[in-house]
Amino acid sequence: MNDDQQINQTQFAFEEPIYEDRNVEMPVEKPVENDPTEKKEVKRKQKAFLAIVILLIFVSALIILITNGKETVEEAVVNDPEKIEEELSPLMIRIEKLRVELEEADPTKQDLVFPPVDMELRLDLDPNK
Amino acid sequence: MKKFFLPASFVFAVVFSVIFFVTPVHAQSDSQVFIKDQTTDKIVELRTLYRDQVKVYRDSEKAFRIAKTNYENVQTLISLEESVEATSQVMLDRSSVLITYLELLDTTLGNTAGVELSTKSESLKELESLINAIKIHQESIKVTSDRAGVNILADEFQAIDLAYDVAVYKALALIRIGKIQTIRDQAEIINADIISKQKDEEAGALLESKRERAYNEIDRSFKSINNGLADLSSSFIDSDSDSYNRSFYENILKDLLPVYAKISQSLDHLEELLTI
Repeated sequence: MNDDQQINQTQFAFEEPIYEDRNVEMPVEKPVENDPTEKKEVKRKQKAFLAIVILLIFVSALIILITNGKETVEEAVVNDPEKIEEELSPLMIRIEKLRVELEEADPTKQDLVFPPVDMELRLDLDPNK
Repeated sequence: MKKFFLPASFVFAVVFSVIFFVTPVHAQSDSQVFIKDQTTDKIVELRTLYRDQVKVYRDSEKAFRIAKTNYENVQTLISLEESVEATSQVMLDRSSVLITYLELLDTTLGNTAGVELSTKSESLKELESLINAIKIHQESIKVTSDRAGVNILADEFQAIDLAYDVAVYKALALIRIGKIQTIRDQAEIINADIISKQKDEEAGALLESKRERAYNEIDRSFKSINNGLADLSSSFIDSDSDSYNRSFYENILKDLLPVYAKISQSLDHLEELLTI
């Protein structure tokens, strides 16, 4: 059989305009249109992902802030009386304790106030009064 | 939504655990740490009991006033019965309050150092005999159920009332003076310890003369405190037993104020002395 007879005639028909130096629209596969519900689902997932990322950033910032705060408190704990007791001399501690006792003995402070009761309770009037 | 719920709950769990573990425990205040718990368990128990009994008394006093007014208005036999019952109850509750208060004073005074022993023992005896007198009065109330009986009990209580004032204000004054005296004694011991410690240290002539001047100044303060306390003690001893009343006690508190201020200044001086 002749080779020319094996040529695809249909193909040639499409290629013909090329040889003729003409613009031809080649057959293009049409993109399959997405389902609208599927599009929404994708958007929702993106939003959720974004929310988690923002939340994680927020949490990290919070942890950093709290950790810094803790360090500040630890620094402040240096002023804790127990630490002070360790640093103060035993004589100074005795003076401080005495000062607390003195505050408790302040004459202007009311302690052991006389009972708030009526010492003259009577059903009938006192005949002597 | 379910997919979002799982990571979100995880994130919240992380946030809460971080807050829970990282949030520091508040440091205790200076006073909380330094306060020396001088009160014994018995004093704490008595204070709680006293507070509860005062509450009960207030309620029964209210009930007594209502019953009494009701009887005065309607003058019925039932209202009379109710008012007698309310009077007995309020008298009983008052006795409980008064006894517990005396026991509280007795324990506190017994626990207070710095009070001259014979004066302290005398005051304690007065408190104890008064407790017994009120207990007897309390027993009489329990067996009284008529109008004449509660009126007789009210008359009898007048004698207790007078003795109560004297014993209470005397004990209160002794407790107040004793506390200040104890602090002064302790301050003097600390002063002696500081001097002994500083004498062992090697210091230049300049520093030694500076310390010597400080010792003299502190010594002068202690002498002034001693004089103040001695005056208070003598005014206490010289007073008649009947004069131990509210105004006597208030005068004692007033006289204690300059002594208190002087001791506070002495403590400042002792602190300063430690830095010299």
